[in-house]
Amino acid sequence: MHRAVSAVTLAALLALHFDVWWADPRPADDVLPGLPAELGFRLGWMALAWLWLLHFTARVWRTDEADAG
Amino acid sequence: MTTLALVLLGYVALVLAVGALATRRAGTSPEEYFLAGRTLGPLVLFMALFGTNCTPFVMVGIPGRAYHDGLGQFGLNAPIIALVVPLTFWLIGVPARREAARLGALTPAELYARRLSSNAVGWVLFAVFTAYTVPYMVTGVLGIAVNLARATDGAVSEPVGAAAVLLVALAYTTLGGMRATAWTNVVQGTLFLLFMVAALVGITHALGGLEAAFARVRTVDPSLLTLAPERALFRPGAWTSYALLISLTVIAFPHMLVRLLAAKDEAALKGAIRLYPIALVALWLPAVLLGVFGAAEHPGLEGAASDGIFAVMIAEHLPAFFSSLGLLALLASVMSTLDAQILTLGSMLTRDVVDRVRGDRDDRADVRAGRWFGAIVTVAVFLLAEVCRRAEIAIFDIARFAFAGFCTLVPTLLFGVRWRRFDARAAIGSIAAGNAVLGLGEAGLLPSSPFQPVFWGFAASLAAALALGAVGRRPAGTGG
Repeated sequence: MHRAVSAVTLAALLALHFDVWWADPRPADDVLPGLPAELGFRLGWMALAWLWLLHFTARVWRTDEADAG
Repeated sequence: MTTLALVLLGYVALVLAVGALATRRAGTSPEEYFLAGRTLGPLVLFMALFGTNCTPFVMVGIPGRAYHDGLGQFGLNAPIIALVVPLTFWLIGVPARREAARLGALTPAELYARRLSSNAVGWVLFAVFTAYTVPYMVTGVLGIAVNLARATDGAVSEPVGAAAVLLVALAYTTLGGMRATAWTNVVQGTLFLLFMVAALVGITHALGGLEAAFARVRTVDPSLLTLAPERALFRPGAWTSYALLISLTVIAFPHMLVRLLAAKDEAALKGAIRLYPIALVALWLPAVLLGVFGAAEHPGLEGAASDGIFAVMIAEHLPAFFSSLGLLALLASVMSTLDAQILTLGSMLTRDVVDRVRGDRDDRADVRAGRWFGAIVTVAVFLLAEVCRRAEIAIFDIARFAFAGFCTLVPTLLFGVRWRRFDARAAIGSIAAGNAVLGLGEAGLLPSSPFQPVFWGFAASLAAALALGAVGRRPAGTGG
């Protein structure tokens, strides 16, 4: 289950990163004061990617038994 | 000038002291000298990996590019590095560390030679790693030498600056091997990171806050805040090619891979992976934002002038001593990479050339040879840097080619530790195919396409690896 969630989420993250293939550029306006839309999108993406890595390292990555012991 | 001299002397004393401290903890075995006894814990491992990522490219190249291309430089680089580089640590680093420990391998080339039961694989990897690492080292040395000469108004000439930087890096590397380079990287990475964050906070404050700074950029050139399609780098083919280059090249640096081999256990690797994206934001955000803010403050700069925008913003908006700290951060970024490269090339010359030719191994002789070869590599890099400087050779173009070349090694590094059928023939075929196609692309001999040569070089190495691996058979008893 964790592997499936991890794989689907990773694919979605990569698809979002490569949105230059199909999406129009984000406008130059701020989405929050002092945060332009493009920067906000990338920082939000990185926050999600970090959460993905936390999930991956905690639930999917099987530690070598010799190390764990 | 006096402040600068004191700051630089203080830094040199600090890294030499840390190197000497590491020496007291070091044993005399090759495993201890080349891999710190495979005992690097999460924090030191993370800083060693991260310090190797802190390069003048981030502090000089990226602000200069962001000056012209805007915020897109952040989206182009930081997100994909933050996700894919840690993934490659898991995909390649984890099994490589495990296999290196099992097989008693101390260098990446030695690992794959033993794993694939082929001396030829070891020779090929040694040759390619060396051919692509040396130009990378030369760019760092030339970059810091130019900046030292500028900062001292020529009092420290470029050759003297280059020699001094190399000698200091060689001194603590030779003293304490991997442990010394890892410990000094903790100091260097911390210095670099703190400086970048402090510069961003200080300059943004001086500009009236983030909202005011971005409003000014919007007034001068709003396209700097979007992925403007008129900028070639943000078109799909270039974006994809660059993503491949920037995210895959890191794991194929031999000095990066060897640090993963030095991890104490997988928990240390997990810890490093979790910290990596956070540090990446702290590193790249200041570099890009200060370049973008600089474009609004000083529009119309080109070439070297725009490359110097980071230094200009610091000089204009922060107290004078920050300029000295900036040079220190740059020095730290160069040395944190150079030390690892000196150590790794020295270890490969010892283990992958001398030991293989000689046919026997002597622990004490290996460590002694590693030290001497580190010195020889240092002298060779200095001489090459001098040749490039005097002949005005475009070494940065060679380094860019080298980065693309590292990407062609990734299929071999991955399948060599993850796929039982992947054998020596597949490894050599993959590396040869990838580099041949990359060379053709760089020479302009491939048909026109939206993708850059690195894309085709990587695709060729991957296709050859899959095709040859599918029909390959690993000799029995080689593990896997």
